[in-house]
Amino acid sequence: MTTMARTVLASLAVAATLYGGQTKAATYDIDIVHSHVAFFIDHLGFSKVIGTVNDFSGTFDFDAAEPEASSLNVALKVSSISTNNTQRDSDIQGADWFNATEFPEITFVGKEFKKTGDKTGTILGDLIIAGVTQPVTLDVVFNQEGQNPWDKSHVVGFSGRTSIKRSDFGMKTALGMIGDQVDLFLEVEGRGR
Amino acid sequence: MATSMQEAVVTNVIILASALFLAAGILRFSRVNPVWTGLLLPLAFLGAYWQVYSKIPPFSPVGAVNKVFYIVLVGAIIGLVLDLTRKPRLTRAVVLLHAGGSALYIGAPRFQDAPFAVLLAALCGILVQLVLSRGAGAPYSHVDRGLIVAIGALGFAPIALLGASSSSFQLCAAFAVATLGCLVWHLRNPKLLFDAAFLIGGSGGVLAVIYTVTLITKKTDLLALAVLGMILLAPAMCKHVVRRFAITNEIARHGILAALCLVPAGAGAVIVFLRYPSSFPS
Repeated sequence: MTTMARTVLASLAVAATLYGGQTKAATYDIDIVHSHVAFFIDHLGFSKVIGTVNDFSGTFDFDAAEPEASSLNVALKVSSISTNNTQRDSDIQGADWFNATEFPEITFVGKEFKKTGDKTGTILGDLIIAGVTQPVTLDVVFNQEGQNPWDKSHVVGFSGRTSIKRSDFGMKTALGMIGDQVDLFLEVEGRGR
Repeated sequence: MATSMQEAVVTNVIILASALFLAAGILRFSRVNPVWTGLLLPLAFLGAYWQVYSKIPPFSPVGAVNKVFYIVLVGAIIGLVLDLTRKPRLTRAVVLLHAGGSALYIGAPRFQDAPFAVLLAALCGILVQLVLSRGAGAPYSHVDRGLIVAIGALGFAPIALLGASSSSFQLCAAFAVATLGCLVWHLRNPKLLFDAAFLIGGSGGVLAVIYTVTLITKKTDLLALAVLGMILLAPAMCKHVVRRFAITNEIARHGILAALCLVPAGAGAVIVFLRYPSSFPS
């Protein structure tokens, strides 16, 4: 084998290794301690009630070099929804609202991942609330990827937001008093496996 | 036009009750088979459902709220067939089967964690229909049924409201007012058949709502519901009062029955308001 051939083969091997490393998306588990889901919903036009979902889990595959190949699965526990009022939190578990007895989880499965800017993108996925599936697009900002200096784990962080209509999910109770539009805000940290 | 939610609810109830009142009046003075009057109440229920949820739920139904619609729709169709074929024993069997079956159908997600609650609900539903389906021979018994079911639905409305289901409140209130509007035409010389279609699609629908709030939302005040359940004693008490005071006027008898039904219905409402854990409205 000539020197030239050896050089070409070695270069190809290095390139293949590098290329393979770049396109292999890492799998991340959502770090519940540093991830948050909040929603805002209008109350009679006077103010917005702020709610949080305090127990959820999920995984995603992500590679900054090829975000289109990502995947995302999230499950949120309806019983953990809090609006800072015990009575209201109890009420919204009922059949008129989230129907926690029959549908204890809200799920989101990402299906289409698009990069829209240097650090921005969209995730089109299926959001299932109270047994009703609707397509929802999340606007996502890629915050940072790197090593957590505390425990040396590999971490990636995103912020996301979207708006949905609760009536699309069959929740039409008190539409005259409580807004139809629900603004969702997400802060997510994923820990690499 | 309604400017608040409360006004919208009242407007919807008035529209539905007026439509039922007119339809029942037309049927009352036409030569139409009285069977069709019985079908009006399940239709009122479905109309109220559409007003509340603004949709016909998908089939197969997703969740208890959607199941209620099909329990009423299928019940009304089966009931109509039974009313037209006039088979009393079969009718009674189907009425009872529907009451128990719909409790199991709605309560299915609770089989794992609360099977006895589901079975108890089914038994209570069967008991309600057992009492309501008795004494169908005399024409006035159909008016009695209408009164008991309407006032029962009216009594459950506040229990549903404070049990976190304003939709069920609207459903029950609209159904109750529509039923009472229909009955106005039949207080004297009744010409209606509140039998299978009414029992399966009408009172069966109210039971389905009660199952949903009790088994799925799990926020029914059970003491208030138990007190409301005493409405089933009203026909026997009415009979006793009528005998005791030798009352022969049918309208007076209906008035006594209505008053006796209103006692547990009102008491249930008072109990649920007194026991509600926070200020109302919040």
